[in-house]
Amino acid sequence: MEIKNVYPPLKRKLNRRRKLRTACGWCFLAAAAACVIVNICVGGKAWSAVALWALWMIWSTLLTPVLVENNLISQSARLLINTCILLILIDLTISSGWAAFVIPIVCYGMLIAIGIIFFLNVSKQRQNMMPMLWVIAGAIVAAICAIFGFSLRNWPIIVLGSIAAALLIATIVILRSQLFAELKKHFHH
Amino acid sequence: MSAKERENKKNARKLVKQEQAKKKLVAKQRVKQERATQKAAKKKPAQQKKAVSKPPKQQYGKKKTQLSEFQRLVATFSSEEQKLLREYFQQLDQHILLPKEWKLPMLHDFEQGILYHLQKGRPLAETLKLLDPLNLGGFYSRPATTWWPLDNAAKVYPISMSHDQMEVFRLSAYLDEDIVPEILQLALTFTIKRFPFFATTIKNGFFWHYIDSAKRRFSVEPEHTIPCAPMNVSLTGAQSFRIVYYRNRVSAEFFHILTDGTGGMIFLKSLLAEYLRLLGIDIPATHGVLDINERPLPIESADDFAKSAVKGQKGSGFAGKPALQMSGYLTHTKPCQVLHFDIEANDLHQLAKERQVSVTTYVLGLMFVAGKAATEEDNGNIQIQVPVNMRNFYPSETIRNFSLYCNICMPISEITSIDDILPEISRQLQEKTSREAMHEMMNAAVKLVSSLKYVPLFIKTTFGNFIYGFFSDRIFSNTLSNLGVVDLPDEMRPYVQKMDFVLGMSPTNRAACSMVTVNNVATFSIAKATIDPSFEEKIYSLLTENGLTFSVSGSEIYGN
Repeated sequence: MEIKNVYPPLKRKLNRRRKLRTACGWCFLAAAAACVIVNICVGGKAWSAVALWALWMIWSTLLTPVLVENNLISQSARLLINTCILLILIDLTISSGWAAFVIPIVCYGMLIAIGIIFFLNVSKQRQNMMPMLWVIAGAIVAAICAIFGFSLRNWPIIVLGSIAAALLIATIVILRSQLFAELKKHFHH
Repeated sequence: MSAKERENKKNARKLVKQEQAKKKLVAKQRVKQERATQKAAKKKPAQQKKAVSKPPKQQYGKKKTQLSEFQRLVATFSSEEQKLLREYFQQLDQHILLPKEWKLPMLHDFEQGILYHLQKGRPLAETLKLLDPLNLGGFYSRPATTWWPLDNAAKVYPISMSHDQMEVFRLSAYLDEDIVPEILQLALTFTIKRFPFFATTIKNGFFWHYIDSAKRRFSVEPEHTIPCAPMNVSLTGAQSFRIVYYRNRVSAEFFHILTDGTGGMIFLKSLLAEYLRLLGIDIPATHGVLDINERPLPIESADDFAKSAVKGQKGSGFAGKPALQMSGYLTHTKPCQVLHFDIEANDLHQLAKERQVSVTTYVLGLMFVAGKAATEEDNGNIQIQVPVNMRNFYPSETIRNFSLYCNICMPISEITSIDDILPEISRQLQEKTSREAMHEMMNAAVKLVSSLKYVPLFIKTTFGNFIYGFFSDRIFSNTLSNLGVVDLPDEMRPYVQKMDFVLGMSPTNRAACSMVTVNNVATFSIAKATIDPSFEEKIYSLLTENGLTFSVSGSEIYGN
């Protein structure tokens, strides 16, 4: 069967990312298994949980990024959530007592960064703002919980709540009806 | 030097600074875009024309001021012509109110288009009339505010996609001459406004994905990757379709969330008509070619599944037993090869008619016999998925997805010769593509979507791949999607040699077949995910045995 080639020659090697993902996937699995085994054998604190989560963070952020809405705001929001979980794990497994203070600081730092990304180019980032709103909502809920005594009340959590509220108000003032249009899109079913 | 020449040179120098700033941004934008999509091609094919999207070399940091080809040409114009051109660009400026990162490349596109026509000897006034900014309408001067929920069929595609797997299909048209990239780019710029739901980007909702309008320059690219390669749809404003060109071929590849084969064909025909119009060939808006200056109708972007399904009625047709797969090794590169069998359509039709079956039935017969030759299994069923255009059953003018499928099933032991199995295939095809059967399936689809509507998207996405593999992929051995005879306006027919239609690969199937007929050429395409050539070799021998006139074209083997 004679086939006339009507397609251009490829200009780059295919599957590089897939091969990298596969190779890293096996390395990560091996590292994860090794951590768990060593941790179980040696005993002591469950530091392997921290290692596992750190591996997951690298895997999900660098090697298998999300396929829809992988923009600066959503990346920052995901990084924030992953970092908070990592800090909680470190607090629970290695040395405790500082997370309730540190996590709100990390959160408001990232919230400021997200706010800057958003407000620097509102017209472009308007379509990407939902992750920011989720982070704001989470921060406000955390601050309210702290205010009503459901969790530890300290200055970082108050600052976090204040920044989140300020960002929310600024977003409402700037976007007005567009904000509700975005919410309508996001929650359609 | 005459006063006129001095004045012209002065005008040209004035443009230089502005032009340089413009070019820097163009270059920056291109580099950014290329990096983002990871499709940068370092070297162009020898025969390929210069890509329209690549800025001239001197933009990358040469200190010496150089006039562009366009500016050099403008410098030779009379003051009247320059005035005409200035007015043209002023008008263009009003029609393109995009951020600089998109606006400047678009202005560059128009310059290239004008340059092409002028170099071909077309008078300036006529050129500017052809590239009239009025054809842009208000599309690029209004904010992106519209959005569309995904239609019922499209909802599964973003949920089930992965880094290596995406439901993409491709429609190509082979013209009588090599493609002019500059004109194709402008044709897309003009055409896209008629298809506003294509000018979108996919977004995450809380319950479902949706498509959000994106105002930007939608670009054409020279072809340099495998057909139906996954698209990067994750960036802000990312396109969910791509237009590529190679020699005399224009291909439109669509992520299935946007449309099905019928809708894609309407888009491609409209794009081609506009491309030909920009080359000075007038094509009427008939035979499925849309008038690009008409206002898009709401019925064209309607989800006709929701409209046509009846609540509470019986629904069935999705689940099924796993089908036999071809025995060849499954390649990582999908498709690993694409093949096209160009068959004389009249002969094929006659052959089917002699056997008192439709062309689709006859081709299915070929595929069952070839499928048996490509597997070592002796037990089990070969099952072929046949997409069904629901527009045949319901009054619909939607350009979005409105197709379902049926499953033609044959135990491998009963597959003997084509003539023996054709009656059974014909019976199944008639029964399973009946209005009642398709209506039941549509009800089932709508019911399934409805039952999941309050499940958060992250849960659906987590289980999406598993469910998709269970319901959709493993229950088929192969697919045959026949778009039928494509009707073209008489004025367009001489410029289109043929078309082809390529399906993207699913995770498990080793082949996906498709067919489209234009100008008496029926192009049967096979997208393969195995290097084993048994399937296509059997098809080849069967076609030869049946005395059909055909030729085979395709791609190299891309990888394993």
